[in-house]
Amino acid sequence: MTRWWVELWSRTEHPRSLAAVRIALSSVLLVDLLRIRQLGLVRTLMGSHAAGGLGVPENLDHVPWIVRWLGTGDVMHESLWWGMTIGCVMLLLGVLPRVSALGLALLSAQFAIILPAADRGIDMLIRNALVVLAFAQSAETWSVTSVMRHKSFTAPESTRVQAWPRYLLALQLVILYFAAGVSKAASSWTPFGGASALFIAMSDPHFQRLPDAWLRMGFRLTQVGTLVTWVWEWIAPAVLLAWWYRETPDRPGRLRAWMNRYPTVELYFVVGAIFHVGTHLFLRLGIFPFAVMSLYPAAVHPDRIQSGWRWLTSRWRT
Amino acid sequence: MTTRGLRPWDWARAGLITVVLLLQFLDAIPLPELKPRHLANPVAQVELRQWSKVLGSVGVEATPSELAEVGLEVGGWAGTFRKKVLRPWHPFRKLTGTGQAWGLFAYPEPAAGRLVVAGQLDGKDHTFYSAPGGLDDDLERVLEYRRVRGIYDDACDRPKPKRIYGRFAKWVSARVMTHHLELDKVEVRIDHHQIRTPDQGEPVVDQKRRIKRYTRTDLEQDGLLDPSLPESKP
Repeated sequence: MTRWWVELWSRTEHPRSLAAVRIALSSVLLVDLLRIRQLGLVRTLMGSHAAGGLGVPENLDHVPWIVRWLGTGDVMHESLWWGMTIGCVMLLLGVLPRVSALGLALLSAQFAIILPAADRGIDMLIRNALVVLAFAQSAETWSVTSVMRHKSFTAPESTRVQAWPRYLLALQLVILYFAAGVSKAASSWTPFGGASALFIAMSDPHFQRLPDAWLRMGFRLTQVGTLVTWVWEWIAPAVLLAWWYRETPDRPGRLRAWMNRYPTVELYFVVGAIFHVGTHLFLRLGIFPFAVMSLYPAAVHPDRIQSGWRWLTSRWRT
Repeated sequence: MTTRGLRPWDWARAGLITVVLLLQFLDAIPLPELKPRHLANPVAQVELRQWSKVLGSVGVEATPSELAEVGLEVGGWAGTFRKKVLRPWHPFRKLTGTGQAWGLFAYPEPAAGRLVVAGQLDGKDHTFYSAPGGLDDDLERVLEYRRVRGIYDDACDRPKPKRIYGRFAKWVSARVMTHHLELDKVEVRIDHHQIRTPDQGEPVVDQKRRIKRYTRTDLEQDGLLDPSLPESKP
């Protein structure tokens, strides 16, 4: 078992899945940063109070390093925004991807310290992923690096990179969903509390998209949605089981055979995508659904992405 | 090289990843790190009563205060344990802003808040913004941007909003006054909005709460408005 464990973390594979995560994640983050600029919020959110911002990083016991280095003037928040934006573009294009991922994570952490209230859970998830990408060879394909190294935007099939960063990102998704499921301790997530959690969330004026009357009409549907969400998050560890069964297809067991017969992992994440698109349509959650889904390619083996793509394109042609 | 192709570095890597995974799992486990102030929240009180009823219905008798006691005891122990184990990693977590505290709408709040920005235009009350909006103007786009929402949404379910709410209210007021030069006073508040399911009856009227009022002079004195701006241009 120990040997299997060590071998697991030493595997190599095509960089397709990691590249997809890199591109999707940096795109979502870039859109968010451009939105801050478009709304004229760079100073307000990233600036110190002395410069007209809402944060007061200069009064903290441990003043963030960006304030120590650049002061509390306009240079600080402009540098922070430009640093993050340039880092994002570099990561998207695959130019010095590890440095840009690490730089982005560090700058985003400074942003979080400057104005903690503006830093949401999704920002922490993005930073977690960026730290992993700082160790990953995510730009071996679909990048400037790939063009320079392989003379092609797409790396040859024989290209191999360490697979463990992808495994960590996939585990991050399982942890995220399972922890979110377990922490849903409010009775409103259960039938005991009327399964009203989704109705309550969707009726919160700060997140609400649909009119009250529509929500009240669709109350029963929101109850079904509540229970489906709760169960779906609780069964996240089943993905680990599915991966284990794929590792050991020759062993006996009806459940193993059944789960290996279908693309169970992929199906779990398809349901997840439907869930996230649904939450985007019915709740104002900003970049949350897209940032979480940007990690989804990490849950799929590069060969499966390739075969899935081939299947889709062949169906398209016919 | 060790036997069968595994190098020492492979073992070291697997060891490091194992440590990282254990720490991440420990961080992610939703241990109930409860403190008395958490249980003072009205939502927590409702939850305690609800769970006491649920347990009673399956034959486990526990009053809300007994449940609270157990929660505090377990919470104290769990919090201390987690903090102790994760303490050596704290500098790294702070530097990178990473962590595993996930709770996506863990406690949906029926006693929600509604941000309202109002003032008087031409002697009449005027609402510039009332969540969930619908005007699709500049103010709405700014207030509904996720990071800005995070600032005021935090003030909804706390016994007392943090200081940032005051700074936010001043900033919004200054923004509104800059666009409406005839405006002399702005009110920013987060009204108490009780969410009721159809089973619980008809919706009730919001109650005004967290009221912050600023005049043009207040904001000029704070340096948030330029006093040289022309006044009253209807």
